[in-house]
Amino acid sequence: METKVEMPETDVGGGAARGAVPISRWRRPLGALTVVGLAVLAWAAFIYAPTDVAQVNATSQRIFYIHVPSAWVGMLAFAVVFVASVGFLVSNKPKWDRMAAASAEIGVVFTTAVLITGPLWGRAAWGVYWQWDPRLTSFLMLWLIYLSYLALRGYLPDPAKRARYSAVLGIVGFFDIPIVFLAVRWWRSQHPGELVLRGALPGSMLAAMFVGLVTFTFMYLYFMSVRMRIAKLRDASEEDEL
Amino acid sequence: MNDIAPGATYMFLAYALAAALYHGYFAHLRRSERELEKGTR
Repeated sequence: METKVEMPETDVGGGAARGAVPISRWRRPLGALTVVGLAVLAWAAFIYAPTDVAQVNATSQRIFYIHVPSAWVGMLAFAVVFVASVGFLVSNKPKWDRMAAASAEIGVVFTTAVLITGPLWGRAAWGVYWQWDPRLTSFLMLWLIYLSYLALRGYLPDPAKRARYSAVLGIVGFFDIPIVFLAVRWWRSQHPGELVLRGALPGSMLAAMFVGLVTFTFMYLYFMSVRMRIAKLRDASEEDEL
Repeated sequence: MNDIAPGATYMFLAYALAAALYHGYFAHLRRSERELEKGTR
C-alpha cells in the first residue's frame, strides 16, 4: 500500500496529500494533446471528410468519427482491465487493482458513448434506434458486464475480497470482446464490420477516423492519470482513518 | 434543415450528448480529486 509522506507546511501548492500523491508529469501534456486533437477532429469530421452520399441521411455518417474511436478506447480500457487483473492475481500488489478499477470505470464511460451515438446513427441510417443484431447485443452485454464489475466493487467493503473477486470478473468479462469483434462474421449482422481492414474507406475518411482514434487514446490516458491519482488519494485517506 | 443536410439533427445530437458525457466525467473526476485533496490535507 502507498504510504503517506509528511510534507512541510510551506508546501502551498496543494498540501500534504498532493505532495504524498504527486500529479503525473504526463497529465499536462496529455491534456494539451487531447484539446488540440479534439479541435483537429472537429475540423476533420465536419469539414475535411466528405459526406457519404451513398448513405440514407448522409450527414449522420459523420457520427462514425466519434463512434468508432469511443468503441476503440472502450476495448482498450477493458484490455487494460484484463492485464491489470492478471497482474493483481499474480503479484497481489494494490497498484494493479487500482489500475483495473480506473480503466473499467473509464471503459464504461466510453462504451456508454458508443451506446448513445450508435442508436442515433442507426435511427438515421436504418430507421430504428435499436435492433437485436449480434454486434449490438454482444456490445450491450459487454457494457453490462463492466457495469456489474463496477457494482461488485461498490458492494464489497473488504478491500482484499473486492480486489480478488473483481480481478476474476475483469478476466472473465474480457472474453466477450472477441465475440463483439467476430459477431459480424459469425452471424448475419446489419452492423458494418472491418471497413478499415477491407480498405473500403476513402483516404480522407480514414485520416479523420485516425485523428479520432489518436485523440480519444490521449483522452483515455489523461482520464487514467487523474483516476489513478484519485484511487491513490482514497487509499491514503483510508490509511489515515485506520 | 434536413433538405440541406439529411441526418444533421442526429449527427448534432450524437456529438452534443457524447461531449456532455465526456465533459461530465472530466468534471466529476476533477471534483473528486479536489475533495480528496482537501480531505487528506
